[in-house]
Amino acid sequence: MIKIRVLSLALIPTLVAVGSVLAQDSRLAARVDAETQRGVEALAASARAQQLPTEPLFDKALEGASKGAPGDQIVQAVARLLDDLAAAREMLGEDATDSELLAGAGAVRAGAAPGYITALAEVRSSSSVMVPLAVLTDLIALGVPPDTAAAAVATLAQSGATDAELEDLLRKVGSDIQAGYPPVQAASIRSGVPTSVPPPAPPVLIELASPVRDP
Amino acid sequence: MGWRRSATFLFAGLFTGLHPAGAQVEASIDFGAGSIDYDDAPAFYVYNISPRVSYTRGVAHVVGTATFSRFESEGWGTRILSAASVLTPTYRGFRGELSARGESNANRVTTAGRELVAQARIHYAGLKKGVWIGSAAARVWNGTFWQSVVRGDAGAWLQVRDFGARATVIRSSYELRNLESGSYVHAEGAVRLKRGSLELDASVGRRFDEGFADVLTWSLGANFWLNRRVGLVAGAGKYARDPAQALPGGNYVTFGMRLAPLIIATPPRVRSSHPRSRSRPVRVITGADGVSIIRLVGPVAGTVELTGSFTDWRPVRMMQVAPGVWEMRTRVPGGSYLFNVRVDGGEWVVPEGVASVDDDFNGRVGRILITP
Repeated sequence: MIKIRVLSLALIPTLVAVGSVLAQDSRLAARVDAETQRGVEALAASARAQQLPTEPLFDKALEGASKGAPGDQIVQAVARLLDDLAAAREMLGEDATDSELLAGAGAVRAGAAPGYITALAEVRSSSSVMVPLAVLTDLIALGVPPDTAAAAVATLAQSGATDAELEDLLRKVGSDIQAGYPPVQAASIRSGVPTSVPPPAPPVLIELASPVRDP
Repeated sequence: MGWRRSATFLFAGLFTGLHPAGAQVEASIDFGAGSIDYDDAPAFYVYNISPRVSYTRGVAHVVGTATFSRFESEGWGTRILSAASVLTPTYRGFRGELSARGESNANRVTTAGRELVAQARIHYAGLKKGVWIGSAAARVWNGTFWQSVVRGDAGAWLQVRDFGARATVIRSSYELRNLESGSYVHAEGAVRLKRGSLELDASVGRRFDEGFADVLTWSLGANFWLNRRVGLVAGAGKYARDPAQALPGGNYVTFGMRLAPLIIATPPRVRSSHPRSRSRPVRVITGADGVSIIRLVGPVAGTVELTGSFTDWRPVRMMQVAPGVWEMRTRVPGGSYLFNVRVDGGEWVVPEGVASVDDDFNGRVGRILITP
């Protein structure tokens, strides 16, 4: 009796996983053709093997389907997202949650340098880095240059800013841009990070920013 | 205030033609006095005026500086430098940098020198540290003829809060038309610290000059801001000769006042015919029960539908709660989500003012952050 109970308990996660896959299958089946579905599921299987979240992949496929994209374009988009998730895992580490990985993938796609993403994760080692990464990505999406956006988020995160304060930065920068400020300036003013020599300053900028020497 | 207004007008007018949206212009000017002791001339006092203007837009940076000097006895000296650099997008932590620099020196003590440099670098940089390697080709005028100089440089930098450090090694090879040829290696370490109104710089280096004795170089600089616009600056140091330009080395001490920064916000472009508004187009309110209300402000229409990663990308009709205010309720975990809206059965679009990214399907998709 105990053996049967143990066996049943052991089977539960498997059944849940199978059920989840079937549920995803059914969602896709009604929205894309069989070939596209097979392509997406193959990529999802690859994600599972890498212990990466699969839901964002199905979600991307559903987005493509809802927008009437051709099947090969949907599979390509899903494959690209899988690459971004894998890159985010590399930058954020094995302990990153699914939402952090998805936010990290967004930052990767937006053009944030890997060093910035890793550094943000280090700064937020004791709490979730999801919101800082999402704010970073949204700032870039609003038109703030990646380096300036990263410097703004990192500066606030390093000073112990909460998620709510980072969201507040995003809201204020968004409002300023809507009011007509250039994105780079809005981010600079709201975060207090100078734009002329954003950290990390490329060496040539440091060199040029040095005081004029002798006559 | 008159000079500032004039300068603002001048620079704003100057840069308006350079697509200024998102750009920033900074200008400062130093007034100072000091003592110079060139290797090949007796020490003398000097009075300096040093303006500086920089223009930054995205990954492009342009700077121009000059120093106009009045010497103790008689005569003027000038040093004019302009430079521009542009950075490539980052790829796996690497980014390229191309820069060009022009420099002109002229004064009564030394011969005139000019230098034109083209430089390329590769950086591997993170948020707090980075390394680079690069090379440069220069044409240099030493007062008599032009010659070629080849340089290579490598370095590393570190930035921790208000503390920055940099280490650089430069190797320069030059040939002066049968007169002199050679090379030198210059290794230097520099630190910069900012504490409140005080900024401190220090560097120490060593020049290993072929055929000459090694030279220890150093510099100390301090900048104390009395207020946002006015600062006191002081500096001292020893630098090595520039054999290509035939400029001597020397020691210096300077004191002065800095008027800076003059930051000019050039007028942004308005990309939309919509009236500009400070209200947020999309807002998410999450209650204690975990239900998030997505509120869209803007369109006065018959129907507004929303589709996104929190609706399985199925259209959901939003409810109009006030004229032009539309709401939808959802219960999803905190995270970053993608969405589009459709007004009166039209195209799926991103509301004005919402952060958007390429959707991989030849369109745009809006981003929304839902926090628990």
